[in-house]
Amino acid sequence: MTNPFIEEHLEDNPNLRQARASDPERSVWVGASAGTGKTKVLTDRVLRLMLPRLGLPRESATPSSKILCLTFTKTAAAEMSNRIHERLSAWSVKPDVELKKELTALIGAEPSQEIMEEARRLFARVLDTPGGLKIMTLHSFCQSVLKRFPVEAGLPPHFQLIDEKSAIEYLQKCLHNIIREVQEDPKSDLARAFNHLTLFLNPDEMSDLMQQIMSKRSLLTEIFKYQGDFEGSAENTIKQVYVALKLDPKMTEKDLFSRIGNLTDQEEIGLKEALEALLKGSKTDQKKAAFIQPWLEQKEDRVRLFDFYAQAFFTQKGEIQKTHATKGTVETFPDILNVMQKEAERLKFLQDMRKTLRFADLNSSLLRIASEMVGRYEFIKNIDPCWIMKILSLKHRLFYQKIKWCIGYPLS
Amino acid sequence: MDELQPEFSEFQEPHVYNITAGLSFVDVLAKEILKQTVDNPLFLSDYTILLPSRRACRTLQEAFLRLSHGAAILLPTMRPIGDVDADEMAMFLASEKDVVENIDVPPSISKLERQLLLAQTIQKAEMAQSFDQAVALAQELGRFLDEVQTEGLSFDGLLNLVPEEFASHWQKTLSFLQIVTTHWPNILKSRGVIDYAESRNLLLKAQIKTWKNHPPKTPIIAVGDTLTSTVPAALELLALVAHLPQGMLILPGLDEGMDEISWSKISEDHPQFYIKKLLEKVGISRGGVKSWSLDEDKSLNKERVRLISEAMRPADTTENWRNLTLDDISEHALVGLARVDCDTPQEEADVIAFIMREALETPGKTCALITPDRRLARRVSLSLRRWDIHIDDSGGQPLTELSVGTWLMLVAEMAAEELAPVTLLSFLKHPLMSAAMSPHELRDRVQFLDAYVLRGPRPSKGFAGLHTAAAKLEKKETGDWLKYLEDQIKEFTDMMAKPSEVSFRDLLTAHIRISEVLANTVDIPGAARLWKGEAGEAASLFLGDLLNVAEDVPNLKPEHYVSLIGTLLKSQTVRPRYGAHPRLSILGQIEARLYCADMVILGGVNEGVWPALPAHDPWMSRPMRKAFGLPSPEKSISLAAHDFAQVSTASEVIITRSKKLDGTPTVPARWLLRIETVLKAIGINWPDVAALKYRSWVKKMDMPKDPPKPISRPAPTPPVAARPRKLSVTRIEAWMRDPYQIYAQYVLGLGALDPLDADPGGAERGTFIHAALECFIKKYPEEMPEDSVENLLTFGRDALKEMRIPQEVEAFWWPRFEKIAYEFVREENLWRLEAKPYLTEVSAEWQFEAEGGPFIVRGKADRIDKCYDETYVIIDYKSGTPPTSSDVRQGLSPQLPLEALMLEKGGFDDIPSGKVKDLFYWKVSGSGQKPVERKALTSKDFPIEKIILDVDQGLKALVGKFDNVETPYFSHPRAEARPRFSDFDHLSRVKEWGVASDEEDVG
Repeated sequence: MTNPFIEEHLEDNPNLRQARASDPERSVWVGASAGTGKTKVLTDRVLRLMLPRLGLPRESATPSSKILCLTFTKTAAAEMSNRIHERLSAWSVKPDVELKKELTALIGAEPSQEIMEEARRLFARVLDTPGGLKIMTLHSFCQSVLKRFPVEAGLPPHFQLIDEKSAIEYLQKCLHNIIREVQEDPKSDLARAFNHLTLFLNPDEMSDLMQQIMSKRSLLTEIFKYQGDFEGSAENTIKQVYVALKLDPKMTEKDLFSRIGNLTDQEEIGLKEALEALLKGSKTDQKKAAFIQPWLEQKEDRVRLFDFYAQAFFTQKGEIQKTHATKGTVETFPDILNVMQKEAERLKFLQDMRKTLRFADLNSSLLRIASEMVGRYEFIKNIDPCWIMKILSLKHRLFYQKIKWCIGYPLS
Repeated sequence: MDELQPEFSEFQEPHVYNITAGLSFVDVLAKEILKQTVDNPLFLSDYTILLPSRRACRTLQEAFLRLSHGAAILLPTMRPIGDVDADEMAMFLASEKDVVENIDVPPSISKLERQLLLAQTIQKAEMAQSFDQAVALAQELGRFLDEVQTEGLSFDGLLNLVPEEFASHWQKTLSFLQIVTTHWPNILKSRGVIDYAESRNLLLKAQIKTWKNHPPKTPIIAVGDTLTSTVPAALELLALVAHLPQGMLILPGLDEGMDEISWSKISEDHPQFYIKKLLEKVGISRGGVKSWSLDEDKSLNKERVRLISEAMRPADTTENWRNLTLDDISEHALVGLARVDCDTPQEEADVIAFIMREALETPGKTCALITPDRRLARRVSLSLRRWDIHIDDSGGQPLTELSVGTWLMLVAEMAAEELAPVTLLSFLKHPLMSAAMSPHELRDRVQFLDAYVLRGPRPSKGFAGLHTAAAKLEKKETGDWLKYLEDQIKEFTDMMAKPSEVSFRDLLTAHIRISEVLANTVDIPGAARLWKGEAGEAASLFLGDLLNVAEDVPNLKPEHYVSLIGTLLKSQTVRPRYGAHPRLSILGQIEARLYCADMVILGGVNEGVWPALPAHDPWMSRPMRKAFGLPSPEKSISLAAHDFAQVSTASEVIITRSKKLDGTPTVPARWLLRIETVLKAIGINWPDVAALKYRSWVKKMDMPKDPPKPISRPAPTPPVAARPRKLSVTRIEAWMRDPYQIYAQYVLGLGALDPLDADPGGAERGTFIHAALECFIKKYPEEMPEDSVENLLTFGRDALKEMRIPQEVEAFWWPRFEKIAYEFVREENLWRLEAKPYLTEVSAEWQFEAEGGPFIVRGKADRIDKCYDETYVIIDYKSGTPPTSSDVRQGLSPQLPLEALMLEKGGFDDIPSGKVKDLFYWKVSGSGQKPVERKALTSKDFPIEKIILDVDQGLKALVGKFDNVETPYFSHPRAEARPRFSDFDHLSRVKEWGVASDEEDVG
């Protein structure tokens, strides 16, 4: 037996392939570049659905009210409608010969008299479709479902969609709520997370970031839920970030660096010798020595001096330097390369750890604020007197599971 | 209902007449009645005519007057029976000469009261989150009640409406609907009232009973309008009239030509659906219907009537279209039927305006635009003002769109937002605002407030905030005026600022009072201005009603008041009773019913507009409605189709539509597509003469006489005397980068206003940081204290308080400032090893001779320090990004070098001239790898001596150049030196001439 999938791919007559794709008895996925006739395939398919099936009675046709066509843009929806109307209008008045020819090409066989007659009536029938032929955008479809079931969805009837300006106003409102709380309790986790973010963001950037978060809030909510976080909490999800990065969530940067200055005596001596050698070395070596000297001398200040000290070992890009000392210096103190390389590797490890830790901390702050924002956004939206709401796929998806029955009933 | 039918036989054969589509219904109706009474005109007043609406009554009256040529006649009695309120119905019955039956119909509840009571019940049942949401749900429930009662259905049917497997979902809706099924009847009973639809049914039934038992002896004419026929009880009454001895039922536009098979296949959305239903109710076939007038009307375009009938053919017989020929419908059908497809709604409106304007060229000709699209109606009305033609849209507008409505809303919003700048100004600038002042006095005050008090960051809430902001200006009148305003509206604003629940009645009373008081002019009381005119009357009536039932509204939080009052006001539609123009009118579908004009324009003929999509029913799906016994949503389509068929058969018709709406392609109305298809079948082309004509007119109208010419880069050369002789160091930088700024600012004297309600941004943040650092340095010029960081933080807090920075912004600034404080103190400690603060915020001015006379440079240094060798260092804090050293080298950022020059020349106050050692930018941004960074401008190859020399020469050259009258103040002369900000780019129209690559050096 041949694989039908392969077979279709081997087929190179585009008309046949299009005909196959528009066969209403098959479930198909059509992917093709712009201008290659996707809309035609879709139109053909809708037309074929509405015609009686070959050799079956008139009732085998799918009523136009039971067809749902979803597009991404309003333009595409209108284009589809207009194309279907145009084709059907032509069918209803075409001479028999021509209509037969067109139908044959469409359904791949000669149409019966019944099909011909139905084809001619289709134009008016489609126009009269109860509630209109449902060629709509995903958004307007979701909206129509929600409008049909406002009680179930917990929405006011005739709710309006939020416009961009009000959406931003809502966001601002949520953010201001958070800020108020941060100021009331500056020691809270929320305050820490918020202040952490403000070090990187000014108000505009924060607002932009929050908009991005909100546009992904369905996904975020699912992630939070999946991790077992409910209603504005993010503890578990945050924990997962540290687990994924193989970090201890309790460790702070301070902890990490607390032992940074604890070198063995041997190491301490090695570095001191290296410093001596560098001080006597070339200009480049002396520069390095300048980075090392304060660190070695001010023991209690080592944590703070870390970045300064590290410049002796790393390139601008943060990689370990290839040459730790110039030739002359190496000659005076041969072990210098070894000592320096070892110290460089130790620092590199700490630096990488710190990078990971900072990344995790930032993410945890962000997640904490995001979870607060998502929770508050829903809340404010619900108490807001204008009942404006934005339809997002998740809201709809969850809701849809509750009302599977609307499939059994035509929607409007 | 059916039990009535056999009784009809007591009376004679039904009298049913038709007035063909395409004829002016009211004219033909009136003409024939006049003819019947021509021998004895007094009989005319014996006639009773049942019409669908009050508006229809008026239209018929006008027709009688037209036909009697103004002679005084006794008009027939005309009764609206369709969409009328119960009081009117009761009066109708009470005044009936021969009523003997005792009618006992309880009073009906007003719509508003019902809405509020239902809302209260919804809220009590915790089915809505707030009262204003409940009000919206109540509106929807009320509609449901009306539908159910109109159809005479019982709620019992609801329980078993849904198959088992979906029953649990249905329970949720059902439990919600309990409000109307269980609670509502009790509420009504306790108040001794009934619903409007119920009362209408009872009254109609009483009328039926009366007439059946005592058939009137005078002629009764009923108009079998489609809308009336959708009310079952009214349908029954119409059927009865047809059987009364002197009864006559008149049908508007029965399609007599339709073949029998098609007639039998008419569906719910067909224009003839309700007429057919009426005929069935009467028990008469189409053949039994006589023509109302036997006169031949030459203006009737029979071909058109056939075309429209053919186009409306039920889908089940449309396969017959292809057999159509010119013998069935001739080209004459298109005489007087044009269509214009426009690109945008605005073009459509302009085209319609042109057509209407053109109609005025023919003496006496009338023209009406009929459209369900109120936005289009508004556009046309505005477009006609071009010719000083004023027409009101009779389709009506919600109260919230009209002047008095916007005023009421703004008063409420202004108070709710506690005088936030934008709403406050909208309120103060509303035409109804007067506050007992002369208009120019008020305008002066408001403009002053706008320009000087409300710009920039938002003042804090309420009058307190405004007073503080105004106090800074030290203008007593402004403060006095604010106080005056406060005294007048305090009552309401105070109430609206309360966080707790308040009585709705109190709020509403205060709201109305304040709205009136503020509308007082010097000599006219505000109430007289507010409540005049149709909108004013409607508003006043409505608010009166609302006050009467205000007790039904529970106490609410003031923050919900605005949306509640908004929802309620929005549901009030104001329809002008009389058009402002004698010959032109703009109508909605309902107003257009039975109306006639010489020329009709059908506007917005797109799917979704005409017909509108049936509204979503939040309670039941289509099959459920059917099973329950409610009419299908296609009812509205049938009515719209009948309206369309009636008006599109008029003698002169133009159909317009827009191919795009809000940027999205539209789909033409189904009827238009049907007409197109029929024409295609016959082989007739629809001529586009009209489209070409009107569209080209519209295009020409907006075409400038000469093609537009883009300007070139402006090069203003004002006389040297008008050029500035004194500039600050920062302005000198702007002068070099963008001379046009200097021209606009100092020669033209322009400055940009801050935006209203501006968020504090980079500039304010800079001021805050500078202020904190200055205080700190000033206080500790010698020794730094132990707790320097804490000290600095305290100064920061003070500065924020001083600047009244809102919490939301402070939250962003503070963490970074903490970082700055820590790093700054560290850096300062190191720096003190080399130098010591000498003076902060110190001004300088230095004058030198130039070609055009003395020139003065002035400036202010953030800080000047003294090194231990008695040389000076000038420091500038930068809260953002400091200029790059290459910019400084090239002289494009001359601020610090100029200050150095001035110091050496002795230009600084209180500083003897001396040697400058170095210049520093201190970055104090608090962000990035180095939150605080000290950056020296000198280097070995760019010593201070050279810096100062360069800037001295450069400045003199610059001044010298602009002392030449031929040197123009170019905008952006050098692309690479473009300034980061400019307030004047729109003025120099950079975008018009400044193609990126084109912006070459010119100076």
